Amino acid sequence: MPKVFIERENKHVEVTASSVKEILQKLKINPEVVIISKNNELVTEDSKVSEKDEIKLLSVISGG
Amino acid sequence: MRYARQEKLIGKQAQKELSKKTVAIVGLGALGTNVSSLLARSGINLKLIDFDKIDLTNLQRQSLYTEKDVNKQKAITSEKKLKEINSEISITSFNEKLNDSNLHLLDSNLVIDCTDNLTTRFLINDYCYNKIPWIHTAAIKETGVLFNIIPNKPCLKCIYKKNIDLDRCEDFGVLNSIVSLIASLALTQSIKILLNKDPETNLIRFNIWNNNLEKIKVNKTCEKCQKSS
Repeated sequence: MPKVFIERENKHVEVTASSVKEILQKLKINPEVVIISKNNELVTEDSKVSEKDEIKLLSVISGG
Repeated sequence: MRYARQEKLIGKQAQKELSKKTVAIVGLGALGTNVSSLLARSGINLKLIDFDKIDLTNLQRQSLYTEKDVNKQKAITSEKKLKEINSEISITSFNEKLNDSNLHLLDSNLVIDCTDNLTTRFLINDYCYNKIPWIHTAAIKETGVLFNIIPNKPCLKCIYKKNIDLDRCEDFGVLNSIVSLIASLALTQSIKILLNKDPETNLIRFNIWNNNLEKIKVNKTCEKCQKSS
């Protein structure tokens, strides 16, 4: 299972999924409010994931 | 003499080149005041753009302002303060909100986004696209980000797809230390971009509470960048 870090909640979870889209659906996270990194590379929802991948759901930083 | 310590690092010719460059700063809040001070001290000409007034709650992190400045216009006040720091550079201020009709204000050698919203950031992205290099910066709570957007490289829409309502510092707070750190990164990247010296290509994210630095690779994923590559 890919390891997923949810930055907003500062927690790691393991999710059985084959794509980023499936991870977001299972965690009930709106894809518009996060940017997604896979092994330190930004990816889109369509990206496939495997067991060894490290996924991070990062908050969109706004303030100036 | 003024730039002697910087010239030791970058060289006299590079310092001369910097003196001919102009950076447009959009937003004179926390990031904008910190980075404009560093740019002015480094001998780089400035265009300052902001429509807002100084509030007492700004003083915790907006380093150019003092108690006497509360309720004054940010752009005009910043120009005055920066001219006191360096009278040898050109500094012009525009007390305007960036919109479709005044995007020419961005015409410069480099734009630094120090705003707090994606609407303005997308305006900058569209105007500067493959034409003017710009640096996206942002900070909230204990985390800050920086991304260099260089012509023919991935743009802001390769990171953020849509304009959404974002968390605001008013609601979630911000440490002044993360703001000055991101401003320092922005100054360094400004010098590298202006002198064409291998600027950072990754998205930089830094959490100053746990000292966690992330460098994230960004690919051309937006429709426009994919078509142009």
